[in-house]
Amino acid sequence: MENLEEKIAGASSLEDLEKVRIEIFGKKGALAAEFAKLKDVPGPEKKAFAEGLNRRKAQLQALFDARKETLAAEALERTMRSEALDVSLYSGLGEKGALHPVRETMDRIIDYFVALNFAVESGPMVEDDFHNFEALNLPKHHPARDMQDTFYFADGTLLRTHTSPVQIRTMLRQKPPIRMIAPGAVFRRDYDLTHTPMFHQVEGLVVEEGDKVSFANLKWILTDFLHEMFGEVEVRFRPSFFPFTEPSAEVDISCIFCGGEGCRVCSRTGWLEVLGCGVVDPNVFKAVGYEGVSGYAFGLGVERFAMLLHRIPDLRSLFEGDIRLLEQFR
Amino acid sequence: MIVTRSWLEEYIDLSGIDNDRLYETFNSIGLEVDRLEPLELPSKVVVGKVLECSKHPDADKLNVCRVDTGDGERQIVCGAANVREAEYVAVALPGAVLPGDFAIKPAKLRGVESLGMICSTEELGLPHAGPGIWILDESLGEMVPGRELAEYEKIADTVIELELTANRGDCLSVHGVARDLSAAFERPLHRRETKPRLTSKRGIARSVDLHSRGAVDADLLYVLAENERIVADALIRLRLALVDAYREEALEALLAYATHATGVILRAYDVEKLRGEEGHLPLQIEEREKGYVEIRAGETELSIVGVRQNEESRATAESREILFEASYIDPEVLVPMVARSGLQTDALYYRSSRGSEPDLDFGMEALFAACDAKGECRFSEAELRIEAERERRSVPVDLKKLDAIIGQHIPAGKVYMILEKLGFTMHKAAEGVFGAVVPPWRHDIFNLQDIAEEILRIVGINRIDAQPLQLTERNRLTETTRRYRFRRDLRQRAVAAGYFEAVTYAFAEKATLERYGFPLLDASVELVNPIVEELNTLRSTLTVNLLEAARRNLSYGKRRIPLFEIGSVFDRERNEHEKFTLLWSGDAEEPSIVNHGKPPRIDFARFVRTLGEILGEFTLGPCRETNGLIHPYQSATLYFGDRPAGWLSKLHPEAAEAFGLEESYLAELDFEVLIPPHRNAEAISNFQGTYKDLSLLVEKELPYARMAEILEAQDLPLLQRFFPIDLYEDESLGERKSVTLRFFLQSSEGTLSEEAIEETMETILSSLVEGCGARLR
Repeated sequence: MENLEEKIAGASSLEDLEKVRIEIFGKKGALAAEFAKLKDVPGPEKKAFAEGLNRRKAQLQALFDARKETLAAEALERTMRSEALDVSLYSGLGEKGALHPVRETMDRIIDYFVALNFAVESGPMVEDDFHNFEALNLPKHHPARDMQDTFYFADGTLLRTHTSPVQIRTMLRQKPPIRMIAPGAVFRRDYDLTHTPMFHQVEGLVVEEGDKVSFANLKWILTDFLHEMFGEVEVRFRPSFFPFTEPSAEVDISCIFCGGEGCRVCSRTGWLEVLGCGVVDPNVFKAVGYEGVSGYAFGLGVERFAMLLHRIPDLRSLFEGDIRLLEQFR
Repeated sequence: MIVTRSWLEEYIDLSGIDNDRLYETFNSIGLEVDRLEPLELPSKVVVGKVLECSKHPDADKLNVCRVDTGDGERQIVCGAANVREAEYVAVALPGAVLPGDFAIKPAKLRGVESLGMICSTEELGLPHAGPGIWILDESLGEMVPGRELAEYEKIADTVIELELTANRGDCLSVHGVARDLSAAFERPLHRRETKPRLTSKRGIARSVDLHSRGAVDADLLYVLAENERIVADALIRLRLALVDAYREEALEALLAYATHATGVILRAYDVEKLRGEEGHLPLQIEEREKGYVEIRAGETELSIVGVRQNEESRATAESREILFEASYIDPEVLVPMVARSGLQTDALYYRSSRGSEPDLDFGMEALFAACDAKGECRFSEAELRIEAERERRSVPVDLKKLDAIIGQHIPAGKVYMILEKLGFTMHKAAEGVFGAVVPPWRHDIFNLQDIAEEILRIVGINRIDAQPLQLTERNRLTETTRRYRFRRDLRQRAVAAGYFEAVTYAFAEKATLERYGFPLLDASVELVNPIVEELNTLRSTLTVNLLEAARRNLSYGKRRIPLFEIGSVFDRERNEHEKFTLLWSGDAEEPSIVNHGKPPRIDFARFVRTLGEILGEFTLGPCRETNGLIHPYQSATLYFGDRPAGWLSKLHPEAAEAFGLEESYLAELDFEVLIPPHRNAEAISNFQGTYKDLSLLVEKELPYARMAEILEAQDLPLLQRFFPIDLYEDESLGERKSVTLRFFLQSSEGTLSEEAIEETMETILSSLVEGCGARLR
């Protein structure tokens, strides 16, 4: 009975402690032996003896519980320590792929216009002369119609040279108001460092009844759009010419590489050309049978946006499935 | 179009307008500036006058010159053949540094001292403006020996290159560009009336016999000149050089100069060469078809108006008698004719097809001035002239509508002023409404929106306030929008499964498609003008493009090549179909601590698992597709329910070898079939279910799909699902293999009884025994 406390304190493992528990608290243990003595204790001392014994039992129990807790914590710690890993070895195990920067840029562009309640529309890549040229006020002998620029097929159809025919198809299919974008691949017969025979455009068209739509509206939405895409850049509109819009403009942003100081990318001008736009030419409305409407249209090259946004130097690398380029966008 | 600042200043006063403002103004009025470059001449390069010129005693090709350079005479050795006494030349004095860091120092050339260098234009960093050294003259300014060339305004000019849009033929001349500036700066446009200095008493009619057959669609003006001396002065040569239009031959130079200045098409014929038997030049003008106006001498074609001139008829500075011609033809008539007839055109067609200047007198006067500048010609007092009947267009302008197009009020006075400066004439019709008569050089203006463009560009778009549009509400969630969203989800999942998105050309090489048995476009709908052999048709599969991309990646040292593309392919009839194509080539993982640097190769199971991560639940059946990429024993058709969505396969070993690739797996799926259908939830049973396994011996060749088919046909109410969990093959099994299936049984009505389970399992076993000869292992 004397060294019971020492025994508990001396248990070095949960197994040891369990043996000690049986020795002390078990049916044949030391405490049971002491309680057995109770029946031999004279009546008047019985109470005090029992009380003393119970106190002793409680003390031992508390000591035991504390020891058990300590040993359990030690055992858990040992188990966990045995599971220790050098986590730094496991960096870079992620093997996610990546979206193509051109498609990802297109996604961003579409997101913007869908948030402004534009419908996304599409059309075929193989087009006819009417939808690709004639209805867009591209007269028969316009330089853009040269064999140099357009891919033709044996049956006289062609690969669309811009996404603008989707405008025509949409207008022929439905009545105004129209508020749409047409993202997609387009084709020009051009192949050098800065031209690929296929590239992507996003075209936009808004048509409303009456003379509601003005050039000032175009200026608002494109300025806002370019701020969304490029952040706080300056936006400049320059008058230009497109057969399907009048007045027409080209839109520049202040160079995002040099902040407008002039550098190699902006050919020292401080400006980067990013968009073409204009008020829809009345001849286009005439071609689709619209009367008494007004509208604006714009178009942009997705590759150009992607190259500027992600500082991609080489246009052609975008079409090579080059993982060295793509994995940078994981 | 290239102009120079001093040349512009012949037509408009630009004082007080610096180059920065000029640059901004050009851009804001729609004449995009490609280059605005003030020429920087090195200092210590001065005007020199050659006083004496003698042969170098020891070198045949060198001249020893005495040159007055203002500070006295100096001796300079010069190698140019054209150095002459009394000429003014450009002298780089010792201390000058010429382009290319070429420092001029006193030197001895073959023993003769030389104190400077007589320069060519190229040596001064200017374009070529004549052979040998640069001969200066008074056309550049007063020639004062010793004066720095950089001080001459006409030499230290500013070169401005403008990128013109296709509609602005009116700006293909220095005068035309100045006209736009006059509207922008609200400054007058000068026009010099020039008369020839010398006239000839001989009338033009004595040499030229003009016959015109009926009315023609062209304006023509002829003047005859007796050539005493035709030379191009230094200014003309320099300016032509600066605008990339240098001509060595003097008459050609004068014609090019006058055309570049005024925009009028000018030609010169050698009368002596063309004279007929009676000593006359029998000039015949005939419109052979609409827009085809031919000028003939007898039976010989001299030229076609706006199109070309016969080389033989061309006059030179040596010709004694020259017939000058100024011409104009409306491009709307000319261009369709040239397109129809396929006529060969010369360099001037660029101008006539975009609209040359119709004011022929203006061009002819510029030519007189150029001829008179340094040379001497006698011009006939009378002239011959033919004019086409042409109606001037008038565009009704409603100021309210004009404001609506622009989106801002533009005061009537401003509109008037701009149109007037641009050459329109106005007739007032009512309050706020007038007619604007379009000047003949603006063949691109037809309607109010064209007028709005003119007003907008001169006012400046930057002065227009941006305004949001009040749009009409409408549901704009189109089918294309929905498809786009699904496509984006699919792409995101493919990326999460490890694939890189590729974008490749919609083209392919016919021979490659044919080699691997993919459809080719029917000849009747084939591409007729491909850009290169490798892209000579439309693709009928995305796989070949991805395999080529994989080959490139392998050559860049990539071992793990997972690629996908969503894009269009075209069938025989050239109908467009959207495909979702995946390729995994080489390693299944990157080398890492996990695989001890030895990543496993991609295999069928791993590939199919990635498809599952992207596509969800599908089944695989025997492959029904055939092409040269498909491995006959490791390929499948992929089904969603009972709809086939496409194929997947190990890359055929021969194709793998041809592309130089390691193990590769491919899948080409129809995007259309992948679009998920609408789903309704089914009731979930809360009663305990149970799993049971069965190991069965079946014939080696029996596909699992057959077993599945048999079980499906039983339509057992308790059998919720089943799947294979093990395949075992061993010699001891002979012609059989062991397949272990796991079955999940559950009822929606109550807890399963042992009897019910037993009954179902027995039905399963007996159906397989009867259906495909299976027996319990």
